[in-house]
Formats: sequence, structure tokens, C-alpha cells
Amino acid sequence: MKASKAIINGIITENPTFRLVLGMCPTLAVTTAAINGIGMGLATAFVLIASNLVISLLKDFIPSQVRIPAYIVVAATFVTVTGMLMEAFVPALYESLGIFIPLIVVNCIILGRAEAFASKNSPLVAIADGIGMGLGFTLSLTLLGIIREILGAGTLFGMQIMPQAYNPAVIMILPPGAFVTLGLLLGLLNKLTAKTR
Amino acid sequence: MDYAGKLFLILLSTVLVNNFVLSRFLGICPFLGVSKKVSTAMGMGAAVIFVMTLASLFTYIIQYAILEPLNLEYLQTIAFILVIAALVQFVEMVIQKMSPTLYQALGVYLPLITTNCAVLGVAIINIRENYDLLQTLVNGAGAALGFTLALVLMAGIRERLELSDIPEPLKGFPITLITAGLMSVAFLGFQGLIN
Amino acid sequence: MSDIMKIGFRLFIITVIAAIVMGITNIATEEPIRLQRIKAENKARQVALPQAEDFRQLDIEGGSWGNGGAEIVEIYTGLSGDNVVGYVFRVKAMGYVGDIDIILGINTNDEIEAVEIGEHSETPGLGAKVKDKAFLEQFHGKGTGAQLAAVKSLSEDGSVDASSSSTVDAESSATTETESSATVDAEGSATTESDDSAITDTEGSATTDTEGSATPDASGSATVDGSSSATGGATGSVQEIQAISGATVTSGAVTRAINLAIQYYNQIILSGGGY
Repeated sequence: MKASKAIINGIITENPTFRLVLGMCPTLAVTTAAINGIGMGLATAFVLIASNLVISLLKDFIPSQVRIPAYIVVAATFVTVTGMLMEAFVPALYESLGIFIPLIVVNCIILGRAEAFASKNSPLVAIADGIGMGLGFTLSLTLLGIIREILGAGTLFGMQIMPQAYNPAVIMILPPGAFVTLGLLLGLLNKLTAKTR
Repeated sequence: MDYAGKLFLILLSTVLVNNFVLSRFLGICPFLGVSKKVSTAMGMGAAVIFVMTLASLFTYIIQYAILEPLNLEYLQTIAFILVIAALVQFVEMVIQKMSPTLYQALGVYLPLITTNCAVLGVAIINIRENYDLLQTLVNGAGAALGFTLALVLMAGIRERLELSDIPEPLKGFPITLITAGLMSVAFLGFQGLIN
Repeated sequence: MSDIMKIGFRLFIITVIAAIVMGITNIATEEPIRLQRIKAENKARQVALPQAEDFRQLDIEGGSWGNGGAEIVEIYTGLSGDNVVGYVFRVKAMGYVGDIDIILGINTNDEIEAVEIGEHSETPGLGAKVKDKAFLEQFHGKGTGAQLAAVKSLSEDGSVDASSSSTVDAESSATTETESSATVDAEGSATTESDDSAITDTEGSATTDTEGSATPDASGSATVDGSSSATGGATGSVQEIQAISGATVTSGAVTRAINLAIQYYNQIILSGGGY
């Protein structure tokens, strides 16, 4: 697969959230506000790109029998590094994302792409896949975050958007809101793509 | 409040009030994937209870016997996930020996317990909440119980949904997510249980 | 055998490199992280007591100080140069869902300077509104001479006669006639936050104090159930705080925490226990 195709693939054709349905835990948990969606998406993208690159570079060095532990070590290293950098330089975001930062290591997207893609492709293409998937994930999270924040808090990126008279549907930023919004979005997407087939 | 009371509170809180799946969003992937049949769900639940309780124990030991004394707290993520991966391998072998049918039924979802955010999640939560050993074990087992509860409930509902007429775009994940949303509303009712 | 060796060796190399990378990042970020943590803690304390530049931690008298649902976690003296400008209390109180982290500053005029809410897990849109400026501003300027009570609707003159307020269970409000403050915190109708069925739930923690110094017992909890009212007539007024509509439990918890700090301030610090 060519690098450029890999990027488009990650954003649209095989969008990790809406097509592959991977990485659900952070998707539902952190999208209470748009900024959290962006932050989590970018952090995951960073880990994904770095991890894909390293695994692709080492694909002949890593023995097949221990490839899963090896992928875990690589992913965990980058997750740890990301966490430390975030705590040092963007503490507010670090606090909002909380436990989901270390949990990036078990985000199925990371290990999934390592196994399905990075270990079988050249470093350049692997980076492209990381960028594509990372961007796709970020966009999905941001979309979900925007919807939940506007309806659930009346704000967007912290700024009041809805008119004062609007009484926020708090349930949108609570767990039920997450489930139902994502479910409806997936359903909507299915309907739209079914038509074009 | 007395110690036993506090333990009971932790249990109640983690199974109902702060249910791992429906409130904390931990363990969603297997929740969506394995919950098609009640029997499989129960098998998965049992495996997860076993793994999570043991994982809580081992990660507790590693945190307080190794990471903290040596000032290596930043290695928590990698140390914990490697322990969990090893534990799951072990459980896989045990299940394969003891119940080949269950092993077949769980299929690829068994090794996927490693990437179940609930397992790593509960290990990290135990440390962040400063639980002692007994509280850690109770929280670990409780979290897994809550997960199993959510899983089995969802499986029960989905078995019935199979027989219903669902609009085409909503089939599969969408309807499952919406169902989860409704379940989560129900569980919201448990808030305020502990006061 | 050599196969396993090769596999093990390679895995080992990968792990070693990983450890080195993490170690280097750790060293590079250690200082910024430490500074961020101190900054965050100081920031909260400075909101509670803006006139202080520096903070010095105090030991809690008796090791711990708490009653029922609240407990003092930390106490700091606020200093500007060498002058004591006030005290900052960090109190933990059990809210509707879990513990609430409350930070308040009391200045040298015996008034509450400000209240800040830290970590909590209250319901967004309901209990979480205790973080709202509108709610917290009410505490500013309240004196430490009388207890605070969270009420559903403020009475006309701002002070409440304990037995006539619709939210206070007269039985559990008790004031003493000695100079140390009577901690009374009555939270009358606790409406559940999801529907409005009024279940009256009075949590009256009344420390009866007949002599002037009331220290809780060593374990830190001095709870008295609602029905044992202290001796003495109902003297002294109670300062009212408007509870958040739909979040009386959370509002009450915050108020209870502040009362606890006030109690400590009056009993320990004013009698020379602080520096």
C-alpha cells in the first residue's frame, strides 16, 4: 500500500472508531469536551506513529514467538514517555485525561496496527498508517466531543455557544450520553454508506 | 467507619455505583464483542474475575515492593501491562487444560483480556486510591464482578434483540451501544446509594 | 536451546533500550513535573488566601480532626514575608457520590477569605455546581463566630432561628453557651439528585461542649446523632448559605467541611495552637 493511500485509509475507509470499532474505551470516556477529544486523539496518534515506526524498523529483529510482548514493550515505552511529557508541559490536559493516558497502551488500535500493518510494511508506509489512523481517531473523538459538549454543557472549547435560555442536557456528558451518541452516529453512518453502495 | 464496613462499601461502589463498564468505560471492547450469548458471557466473566483479582495482587506487590522503593514509579505502565500479559498467557493454558469447550468458545477473546482496559485500569486505580492489600483485592474482584454483571445483562438483552425487528442501519454495534446507554441510565440510579 | 537464547536475548535488548529511553525522559521531565505539582498545590492555596505568598504546613492537633462525614487533611499557615496573614485548610468531606476536596482560607480578621473546590466526583450539572463562583462566593467574608448552614431558601434577614427554618431539624441543632464554637450542621431535606422526592434526612453532628475546649476523641470523629441536642438554649445565629438547587447533599457536605475548619480555627489556632 502506498503511503498516501494509507493516510486516507486511516481517516476514512478504515476509520478506527466508525469502521473498525476499535479504541472504544477512551472514545466514550474522554469525549465530554471537544478539547479532551483532540488531546486524547493527538496523544494516541503520537504513540501510534512512534510505535508503528519502531516496530516496522525492527520487524526482522523481533522474533515471531515473542512479538506480542515486544510490541507491548515498544507501545508502553512511548505511552510512558507521552505521559511524562504531558504531565510536565500540559498539566491541565494531563489531569482531564487522567487514567486514560496510561490506558493508551491497551488501546486495541496500537497493538492491532502493529500486528496487522507495521510488522509487514516499510517504515515510511508504517508512519503513514500511523498518521492516517491517528488523524482518523482524532477526528472521530473530536466530533463526538463537539456533539456532547454543545448539547451537554452548551459550550464549545469552553466558550458559551448555546443561548442562555438553553438548559444543557447534562445526560450528554454522562455515560448514557456517550453510548447513545456513538450508537446513533454509527447507525447514521451505516445508513449513509448503505445508500452509496 | 470500621474496616469491614469500608471494604463492603468498596465492593458495592465498584459493582454498582461506579460500574466499570457502564460508568467508568473500562472493558468496552469485550463488552461489545463477547456479549452475544449468556453462556459465553459468563465464561468470559469468570476468566476476567480470575485475571483481575490476581492482577490486582501482583501489581500491588510490584508497585510497593519494587517500583516505589527504587523510585521507579514511572515504569508503572510497562511493568503492569507485562505482568498482565504473562498472567493472561497463564490463564489461557489453564483454561485450555481444564475446559477445552470454554477455550473454543472464548476463542480469540481470551488473549484479548490482556488489552482489556478494565484489567490495567483496576490495577492503576488500586494504586491511585491508595488501597491496602485487602482493599486492592476486594476492589479488583468487585470490578470484575461488575464487569461480569454488565456483560451477562447485555448478553441476556442481546439474545432477545436477535429475535426482534431492528432497522438495518442500527443492527450490530449501533443498537448494542444504545442498549448500553439505557443500561447505563439504569445504573445511574445507584448513585447516592453510598452516603 | 540456542533458539530460545536468541529469542530471549533479542527481547532483552528491546527491553533494555526501552528502559533507557524511559529513564532519559524521566530525568528530563522530573524537574518540570515536580514544579508543576508544587505550582498546582500552591495555586489552590493561593486562591483560598490570595494575600499569602508562602505556605508552611502545620501538624494537625491530635493527629487527626474530623467528625462524621468530614475530615481535615492539611493545614497551612499563610505567610507574607514573616507575617501570618491567615490559614489555609484542606478538608475532605463525603458528598453525594464520593469525597470532595475543599480548600478554604481564613484570614486574620477571623473571616473566610475564599473557598475552592478541588477533586470531586459529584454529578455534573448538579453536585458539581459547588465549583460555581456563585455558590463559592457566598462564603467570602463569613465570620468564624458562627456556624454555617446550607439552606434551600435564605430567610429574610440572613440568619436563621434554628427551630423555625424549614430545613433544619430542630432536634439536632445545638449551640452551647461557651466560647468555643458549636459545630452544628443540620442538613434538613436531602432531596435525591435524580428526582425530587423529599426524603428528610438530617445529619446532625453536634459536638456538645460544656467547658470551653472541645477536642474530638483521638480517633477524630465526634459524632452525635441528631437527637441528642446539647444543653443550653438555642443562642447564637447560624449563617446561611444558599444550597444549590437539586444538590442539597453536596452543598451540605461542603458547608460541613467548612464548619469543621472553623471549629478547628476557633478551638486550636486561636488558642495559640498555630503558627
